[in-house]
Amino acid sequence: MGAAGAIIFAAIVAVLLNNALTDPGAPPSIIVELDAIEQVAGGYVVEFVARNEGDTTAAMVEISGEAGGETHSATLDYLPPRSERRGGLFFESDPRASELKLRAEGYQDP
Amino acid sequence: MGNAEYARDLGRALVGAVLFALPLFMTMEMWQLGFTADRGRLVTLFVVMLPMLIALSYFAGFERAFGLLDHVLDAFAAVAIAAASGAVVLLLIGVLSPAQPLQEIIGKIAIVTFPGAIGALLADKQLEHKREGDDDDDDDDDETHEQEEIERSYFARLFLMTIGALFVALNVAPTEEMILIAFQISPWQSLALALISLTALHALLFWAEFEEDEERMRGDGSMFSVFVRYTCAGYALCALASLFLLWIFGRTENTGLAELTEFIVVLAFPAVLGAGLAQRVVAERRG
Repeated sequence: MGAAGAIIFAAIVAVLLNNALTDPGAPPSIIVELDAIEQVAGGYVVEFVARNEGDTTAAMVEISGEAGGETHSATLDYLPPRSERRGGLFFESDPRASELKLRAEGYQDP
Repeated sequence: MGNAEYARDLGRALVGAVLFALPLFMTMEMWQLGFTADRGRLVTLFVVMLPMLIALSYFAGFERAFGLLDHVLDAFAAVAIAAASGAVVLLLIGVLSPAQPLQEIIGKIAIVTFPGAIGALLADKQLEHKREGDDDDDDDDDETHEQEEIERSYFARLFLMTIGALFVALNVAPTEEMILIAFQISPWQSLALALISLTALHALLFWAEFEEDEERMRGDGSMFSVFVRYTCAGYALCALASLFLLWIFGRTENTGLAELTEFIVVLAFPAVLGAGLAQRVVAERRG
């Protein structure tokens, strides 16, 4: 029991140490991808997945999508490094009709 | 035992339940959890909670109990008291309203039930005055002695540490501040936090213990062996309890390993304090 405990503690230290030593500290680098488009009340919802490829946590991340003349945005509370979060954007007209552009507009340091 | 005494016990349990669940009552994230938490995971929390409460009832019992069935009943009674008092308080402070969907209502009550039930079971210890004229004094002495022997067993101590960890961590686990701390600190600070938590646990377990307890815990082993057997095992339990709670509250989804480890280390810090002090709180009656 104690040995298992020591191993778990060592594993935790190893992960943290590895992170501490190899973290280049690059700023957030956010990739937004389309997950699905569904029809909902009032129009359509564009479901997206945002992933942070950088090394720093981004807070209050604004995700925007543009299609057919409409631009809509959503805000993600936190997007930690090497992690993904999901959300959706509501459109009136079918976003599949024209080219849909999804991007992150900005963020705040937590 | 007379009805008047039982009513007094019940009253104490009620106060304990409200007291222990109080921080959670006043936490915004807890209110939101009623409708954001995954139902299946809340059920898991409940399922894990029951055996722990039964075992805690064995150590702390809010009524002199003499068998497994009594402990099971005590645990369920504590759950009922915690759920009922939780519902009343939440209604009083406007967090619960009959207009809300049933799922939300059940979810909110469910979250406060675990700490409340622990409070109800421990209330006997904390708020009780010396009972006078107890008919079963002699029988109790024998039972108490045997119970003490078991209480000092290795797994009993580990169990108490776990429940202490779960209880303290549960009060802060749902909050945004938990993950915010993890986001704000550097990896070096996380590392320091982990090491300090381990040291703090060791200190709480041994330097606060009575001399005789320390000798019994040590047995034939050296201080190092005790460190591994109790402190390392204890920290691992705190880390696992933290991981479990993070999972219940949906913090483990889609998150990188290093970040998740930081969450665990941040949550394990208060957990460790609960684990280190748990035995002290439950065993006061022996003092």
